[in-house]
Amino acid sequence: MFLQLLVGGVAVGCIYALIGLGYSLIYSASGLMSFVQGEIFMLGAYVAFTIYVGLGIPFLLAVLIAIGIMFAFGMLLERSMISPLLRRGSQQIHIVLATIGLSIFLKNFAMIIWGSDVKNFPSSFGESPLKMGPVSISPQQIAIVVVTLACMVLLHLFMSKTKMGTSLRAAAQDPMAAGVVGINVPLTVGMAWALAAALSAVAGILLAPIYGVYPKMGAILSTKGFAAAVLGGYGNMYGAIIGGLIFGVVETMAAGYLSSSFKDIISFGVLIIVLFVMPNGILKVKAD
Amino acid sequence: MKRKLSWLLCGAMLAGLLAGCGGADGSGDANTGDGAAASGGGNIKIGYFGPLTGGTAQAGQAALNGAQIAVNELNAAGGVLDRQVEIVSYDDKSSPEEAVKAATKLVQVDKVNAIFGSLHSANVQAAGPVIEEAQTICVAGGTSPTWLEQGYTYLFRSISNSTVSAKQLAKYADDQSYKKIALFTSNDEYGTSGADGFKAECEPYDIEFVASETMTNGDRDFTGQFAKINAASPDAVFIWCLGDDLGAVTKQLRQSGFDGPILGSESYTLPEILENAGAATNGVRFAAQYLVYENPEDAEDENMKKFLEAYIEEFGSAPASDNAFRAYDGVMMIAEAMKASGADHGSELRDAYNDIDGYVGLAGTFSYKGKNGEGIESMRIFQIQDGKYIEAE
Repeated sequence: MFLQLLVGGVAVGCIYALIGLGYSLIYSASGLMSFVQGEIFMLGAYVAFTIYVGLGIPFLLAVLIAIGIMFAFGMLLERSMISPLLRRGSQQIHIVLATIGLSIFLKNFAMIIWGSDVKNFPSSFGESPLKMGPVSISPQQIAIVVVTLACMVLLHLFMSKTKMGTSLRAAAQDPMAAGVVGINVPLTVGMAWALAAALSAVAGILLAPIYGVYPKMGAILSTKGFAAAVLGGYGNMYGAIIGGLIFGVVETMAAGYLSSSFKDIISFGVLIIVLFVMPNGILKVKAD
Repeated sequence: MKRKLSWLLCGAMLAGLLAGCGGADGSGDANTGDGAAASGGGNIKIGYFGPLTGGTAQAGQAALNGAQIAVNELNAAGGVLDRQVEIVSYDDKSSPEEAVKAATKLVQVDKVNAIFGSLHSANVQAAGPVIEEAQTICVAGGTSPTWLEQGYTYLFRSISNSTVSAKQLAKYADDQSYKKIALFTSNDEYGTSGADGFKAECEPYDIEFVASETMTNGDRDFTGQFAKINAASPDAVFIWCLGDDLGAVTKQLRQSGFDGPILGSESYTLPEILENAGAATNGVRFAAQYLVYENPEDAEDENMKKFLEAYIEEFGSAPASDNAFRAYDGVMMIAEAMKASGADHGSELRDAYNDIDGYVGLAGTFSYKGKNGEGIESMRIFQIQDGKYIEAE
């Protein structure tokens, strides 16, 4: 049972990690907190559902289009809402409120467009679980782990090897200095929001065949993704990944060995204890 | 100019307000059914009260429609006691307070011969004293056992009460010799009482509960719970949670590797779940009085088929809720009691209703003799196979 729980925990932890990564990216690039990641996760699942099931476009192509749309949505969100607000002198708290407002809007928007019932997103990897000794793994779980790993490697390469990634990191460290040396800071900030949206959308599409697609699907996930980011060290990319995996495994183990009713109490309890011991999260973030 | 405009606006608002009030007053009027034109004579009046507005309006409307189908059928066959039958209906707005008003009006003003209503147990409970005092029989569709345990003698139920489902499932589990059962329920009143009821009904049988896991309504990650359930290798899993969770729960239980039988709640009758969980629902068994069919062709029971065809012809589509079946059975049995005794009201009619024995309705076979208002104590066990409901052996 331990192995079974570990496999399940890692799979769900990957999802938390992807959403947590979004929070961290936005924070490290712009020092802001976005609370619309859960609804972007939901929207990503809906857009993929509409393209794949509604329009009947092949799965991989549909997913790529959906991720592209959500990437553009993230960019648009930063360009048309966040950045104008900042130019008008909004404080951090106003941005937080604006994103909360947007998340409520998106939830209701989805309800109007797609209805409030659960939509079935067929898994393109088959439904029957694979048995490996005592452990049974669903193909979707394997897909979640593989895709998450791929996303992380790609993100790492993007950040460390490309010019765009380097300027993103530079702008995050010191926007003014970055601007002085000719980096287009607004573009890099928009890029961070766009990447965060794309990652959340990937998580949504990965989870859709298991959870089904419905307007409130982002609500729980966004809290847990946020917790993952905080646990790992808010603003640290690698921290979000570690945080997500720890959170997923602890939660699943708690449900398996202790009590399913206290699952959330235990996992959030661990979060509080970790923060108590390591106030900056597991991977320290520079306080600046 | 500005002042003039504001006075004008005030006037307009006042007028609107008055008109609104007028509308509200009028809405309580009786809505007489088929035989309205001949209401002066000796028509038999069946009262109806149930929700016709608000959240459960669809169910209430379906019940009223179901009653109307029964009345149409009776009238086409020459009426009851050689008199035509008509319905007098009121909206109880799903509120016990309104239900008392509606029931009072039915027995005191309209002086109906018998009543069908309401669908909500709380409303039946509230209207009980008024109905009992007026000595008018009332057949209701609420499923909570409580209101028939209060000692009323004029109240009846045209569907099994909610404890029957657990009883039937426990018996089925024993018949199928499931020895080890795992419980998976929501951690709210519905799930907890469902599990407790099932466990109590299983007591006489040789059944062991090898795992008992819960979930919070709205949660979507059951990895830990299902790992525990699978580790206990049960013969069957008992699932009792609300309809909106049921699809995801069933799907993930199958994805976690459990392919044995699932014993579930009547929420599995919701077509939405079949659609969401797809093939994962294969092998689900649940106890229900009847299924909600969209197409009369799907119904195996001849009576049900006939009813659905008549309903669709009259109202354009199949009933949105099984309350149509409860009301139809109720009105037909009231007529049955009248025909058997020749009485059209009061204690004589009540005694005749109590004598109904072996009446076959949409829900199954009713027998009220000596059962304190309960007429049916069996549900059917249905099984889901390839997206279709079939009656389990």
